[in-house]
Amino acid sequence: MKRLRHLVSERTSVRLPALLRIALGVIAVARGLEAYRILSPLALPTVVKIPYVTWMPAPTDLAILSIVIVWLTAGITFAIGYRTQISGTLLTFAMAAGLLIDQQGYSNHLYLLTILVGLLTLSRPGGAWSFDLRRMKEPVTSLLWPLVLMKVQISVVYFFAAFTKLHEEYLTGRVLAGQLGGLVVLPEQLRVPRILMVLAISSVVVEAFLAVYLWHPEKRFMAVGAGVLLHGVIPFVMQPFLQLTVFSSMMLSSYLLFIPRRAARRQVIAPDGIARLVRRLDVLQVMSVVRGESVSTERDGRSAVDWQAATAIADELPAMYLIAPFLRLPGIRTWGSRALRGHGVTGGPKPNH
Amino acid sequence: MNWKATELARTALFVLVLASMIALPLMQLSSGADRFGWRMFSQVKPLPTFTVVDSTGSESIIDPAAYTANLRGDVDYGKALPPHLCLVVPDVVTVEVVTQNMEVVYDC
Repeated sequence: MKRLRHLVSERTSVRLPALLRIALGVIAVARGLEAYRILSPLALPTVVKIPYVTWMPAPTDLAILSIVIVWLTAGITFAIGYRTQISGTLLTFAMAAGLLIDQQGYSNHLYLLTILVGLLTLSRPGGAWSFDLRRMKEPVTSLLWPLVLMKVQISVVYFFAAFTKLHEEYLTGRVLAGQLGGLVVLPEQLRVPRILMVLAISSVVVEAFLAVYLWHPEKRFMAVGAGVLLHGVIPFVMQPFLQLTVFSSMMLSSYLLFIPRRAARRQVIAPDGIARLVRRLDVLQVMSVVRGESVSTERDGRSAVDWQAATAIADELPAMYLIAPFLRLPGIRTWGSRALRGHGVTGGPKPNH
Repeated sequence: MNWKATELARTALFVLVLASMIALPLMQLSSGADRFGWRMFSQVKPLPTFTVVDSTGSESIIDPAAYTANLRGDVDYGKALPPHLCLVVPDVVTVEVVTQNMEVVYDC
């Protein structure tokens, strides 16, 4: 109970919620445009209405247009941080209305986006990179607990996505065979049962892995890499492209939540040019950067040098976290280590694990 | 340990949201429902085929896309569409719905 009380009172830097606010706001606007395409036919008399409850009135042109206008306007003002709390609340309600106005308006990614924007709004994300900042007299912080719930939600989505696929029809690749067919069509030679079965089982393993390992401080980069591959491929090999792109962008943006934000910052030592670059890219302000001859980093008693340090630093930079896992691949690692040495960066002390 | 009202409200909201995040998909999973349970791309549900018969006995196959806003596998069109087709298709007498497992005839 004491820990729960501490958690609901704990505050955190506003930078991560603000960055997520911009990302989710932009994603919500893109999804709002798609919502109009999906919902507007509901006003036609020839189109069937399938409400969740029988007493719900049939959607009219005006009702649909109003929902979409509020959705788009609130999405834009939420992203730019203008009246953030009001914008976030309106955006959440507009998306919920789009979701619930008719059974045909439902989609899992819209449901998730509604939850994430609602929770993010509760964290008060308007204190950085926002118009609201001009009206604030003193620095503000965000509430931590809604961000914790957002992380739990991401894991829950991956867990159930994996769990509901644990049946013969999916694991044998038959379900996948019926779903493949997006912008990129797999060659016939790859659409054989054995390969489809491997792809199906791999997708379940990756989703289950993501549900757990995004939380793991040392293995998080592997989860991020697996997530990038999964969400990078899905919109191109399945349909509908725009909705799956929205889903992928939302999931990959949410990985930022899992970057550790502890009182102890990551200590970074790097030559002048690299140190300046890291300072500029460290928009979440999770690092203390000092100039030195070699590249090295340390946090929580774990240290790394050279390219290993560069990748650990890149893991926590919003501009690089999605490519950082791939910087560890053998060829890139060798090239990176050489490149660091080529710039006169000498090896630092041995890592202490 | 005296709790402030805001702490109590936040704690209650935290527990409520956390519980529903886990309980809702579990309930949906156990009831076999497709929505609100993160059942994503885990099954393929072929759409039923719809055939309308008019007063002369002539049959025509209906394209469901022309009468729906957004064709989704998790929507039960087999139940929702026939009464609607009776209303909007001129001179229709019956609607035949064929799914994987059964064939149903709706009298308009």
